Amino acid sequence: MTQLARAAAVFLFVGMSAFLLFLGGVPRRRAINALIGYVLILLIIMTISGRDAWPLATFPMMANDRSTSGRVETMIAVRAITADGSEWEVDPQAWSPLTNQSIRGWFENVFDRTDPAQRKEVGRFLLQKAEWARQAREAGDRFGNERFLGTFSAPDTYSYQRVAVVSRQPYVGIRVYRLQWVAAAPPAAPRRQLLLEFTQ
Amino acid sequence: MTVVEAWKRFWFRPARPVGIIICRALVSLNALWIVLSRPDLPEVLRWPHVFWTAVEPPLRARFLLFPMPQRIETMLYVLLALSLASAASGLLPRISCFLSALLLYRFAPLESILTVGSGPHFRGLTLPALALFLLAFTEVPRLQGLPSSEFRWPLMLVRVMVVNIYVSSGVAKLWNVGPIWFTSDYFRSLVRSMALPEFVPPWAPAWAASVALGWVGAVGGLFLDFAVLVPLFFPRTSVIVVPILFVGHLFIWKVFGVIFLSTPLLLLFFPWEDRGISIVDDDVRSV
Repeated sequence: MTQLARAAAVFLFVGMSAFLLFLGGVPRRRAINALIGYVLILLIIMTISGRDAWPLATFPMMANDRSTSGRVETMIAVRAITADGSEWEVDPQAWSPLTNQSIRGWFENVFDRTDPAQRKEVGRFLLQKAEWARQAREAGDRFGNERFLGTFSAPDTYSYQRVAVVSRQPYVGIRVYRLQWVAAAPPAAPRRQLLLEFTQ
Repeated sequence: MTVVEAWKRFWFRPARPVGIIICRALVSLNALWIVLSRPDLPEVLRWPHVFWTAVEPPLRARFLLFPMPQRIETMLYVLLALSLASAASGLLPRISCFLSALLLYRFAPLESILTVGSGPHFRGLTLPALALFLLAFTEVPRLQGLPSSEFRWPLMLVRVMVVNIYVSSGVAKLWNVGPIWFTSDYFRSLVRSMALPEFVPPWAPAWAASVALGWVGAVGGLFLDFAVLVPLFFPRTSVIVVPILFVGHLFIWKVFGVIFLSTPLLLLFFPWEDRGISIVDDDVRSV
């Protein structure tokens, strides 16, 4: 299904709903039945085919096959660097309005398609965000996605731990790693592969 | 009872307007909570071009992401928050529901568009966008209004959409993995695979280590995906099923570290619209 066909499926739902405003009596009841039928059929087709037209969507949560024993898992980890060369975990709120998961997903799905100049731009941007978050944390400000609601903010779909301690020195660089480990709870120490390094 | 009668009874037996009022308030407040928790979402549009590398023009067009000055984007996002508050309170319901839905359709994908090339399925704004589109065009309820089929079918359709979240998840598990998903061994391997070096959910180690807890999780997963069908067809069971589903989500959070932001919408399954209506009298009215 093309992107525009997906949009058409949604706007047909909206159009059929809006059409009800102009109907009464039996024609209205027929139009309501048609709308209900359209939604049900679409949801069934999408569930079977695995394709969807957000917000008319399916939700294949935890439906990937993870049965392989000794399976190697991967994730992306971003570290900020201070002038003395030490590495620091970056506060997840740094990526606001997006999340750790979004940044990881971008590196997993898109990063390989970028050229060296673009990678430099990515590094510079992530460093700016990480340093902005460091300064906000140091100043004790409420920032990022928690700016308005604080601890009552809606969390990300995937839990993460806030960084306990932030550097008192400014960040001068950023490193992005791909971590690999054998699935376990808790996992063993991961192997690190450097994907990106940027320093000012 | 024939199929036609069952269809009419399910969708069109009279309901009190309070059900729609609660539905509109719940989906609007759920969305408003998320919108206020992502105050800078329009900023994603200003992220460097390289982050937008994978976003093709048709995808931008699909979500109405046409270029606009950033000030206008910010104003539209503020308008989204105001229209959600208005919809929740029942002020100008048609306009506020439609504006909210349209702006959710435009802004919600920004949460994931840079990476997944589709919608933000699990980020809590899917159901509100759909429900508010629907409620913009259905009969506007008044608290003291008479029961009508016009207050039944939209509520049932929204409930079906909530059910779809759970059931499509269960079907995908069966389809992609098979019945083995609902076994202790598989459940424990899933727990292990979702424990990250940087974050291990608090209950994950215990669950990964215990065969018995693995079975509890597997059976619980099966229940969570399909039990929501029960209150859809038998509303009085909601007082038992809905609290259990809430507890199930608490377990998912503690074992997998996954938080489902639409969990409050389970409250939609309480039969608010049937209070004070005799089952004997719920013959189907024509509209």
